[in-house]
Amino acid sequence: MSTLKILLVDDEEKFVSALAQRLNLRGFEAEWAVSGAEAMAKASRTMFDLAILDVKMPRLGGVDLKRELGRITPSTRFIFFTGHGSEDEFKVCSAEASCYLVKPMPIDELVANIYRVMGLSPKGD
Amino acid sequence: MSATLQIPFETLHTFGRLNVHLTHELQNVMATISETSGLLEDLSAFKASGGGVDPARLEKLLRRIGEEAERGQRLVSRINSLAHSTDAPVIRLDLGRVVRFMAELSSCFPKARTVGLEICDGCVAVDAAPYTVQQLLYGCLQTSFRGLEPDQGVALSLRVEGDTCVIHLSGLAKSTQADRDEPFPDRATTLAAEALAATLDLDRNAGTLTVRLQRVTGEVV
Repeated sequence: MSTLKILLVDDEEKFVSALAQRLNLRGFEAEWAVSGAEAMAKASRTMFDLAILDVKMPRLGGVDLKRELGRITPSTRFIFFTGHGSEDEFKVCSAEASCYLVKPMPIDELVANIYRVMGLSPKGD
Repeated sequence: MSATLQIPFETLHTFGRLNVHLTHELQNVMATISETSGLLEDLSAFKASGGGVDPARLEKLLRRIGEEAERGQRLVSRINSLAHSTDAPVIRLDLGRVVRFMAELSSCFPKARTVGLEICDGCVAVDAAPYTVQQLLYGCLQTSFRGLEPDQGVALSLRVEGDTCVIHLSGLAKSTQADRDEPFPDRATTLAAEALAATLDLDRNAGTLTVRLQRVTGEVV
């Protein structure tokens, strides 16, 4: 199995940079961005297998960003995360992606969901 | 039910929205602390297994946790202040303090923009329910942020003209679709303005929003 390339997008820079480093220590190739514009720029240079998007961001929210990213990288899969977990958000996110996580989430839970969304097992079968 | 509490829903809605914004921010703080401490654990385990870890990197992460804890403390303090704003129906309050508080709080609003503050010297006393003033300012600040680019901000000043307090917002977008979708003032802001006998004047062409309300003389307890 080749290394999974993951794009993390959240306007909380300290949070998203720490999370990217933790995923990198677990063998992923994670990059991070703090805005939709920065995410789009990175996605135009790198084909990401998976994007993990914060639902609420100042200018371009996660749901809209997913649609924009989907235009330039149609094969990218998505996970949403948010600081809340309201019923409205759950409905929107469930319709847009197969995985919706409330942060902070245990890193093992996130990793398990990454493999699940990618249809892989941690051993790479 | 024998008795009905007549509280307009919009009044509660504003209180709820403010709490949503603040707790969302607090959740971000908790998430950052959680991931940063998790990263420290990861690096510790990496070092224990023979890997090299730059001490400066560890110090930076520890400092980050301290900074986030301070940010969380400030947020808790704001949530506490907001909760106490419903303690009394009407009190004599310093409008400058409420304006400053709401300007600080506005950094947590979705699509928030920077607020440059200019508050006149001395106490500007009004007799009002603190929460009602907050409700009024919330509606005004939300409207003033509409249509602005992320790098733009508004100026907020408080001054006294005779027996009137004037809260003036400038730098607003000239026009915005949001105004057509949700005209200003909304119901909650209207209710607050009526309760405070305040006047509201939104002038998109001039890019200004002006609030006038009655000032009183006397000391603030």
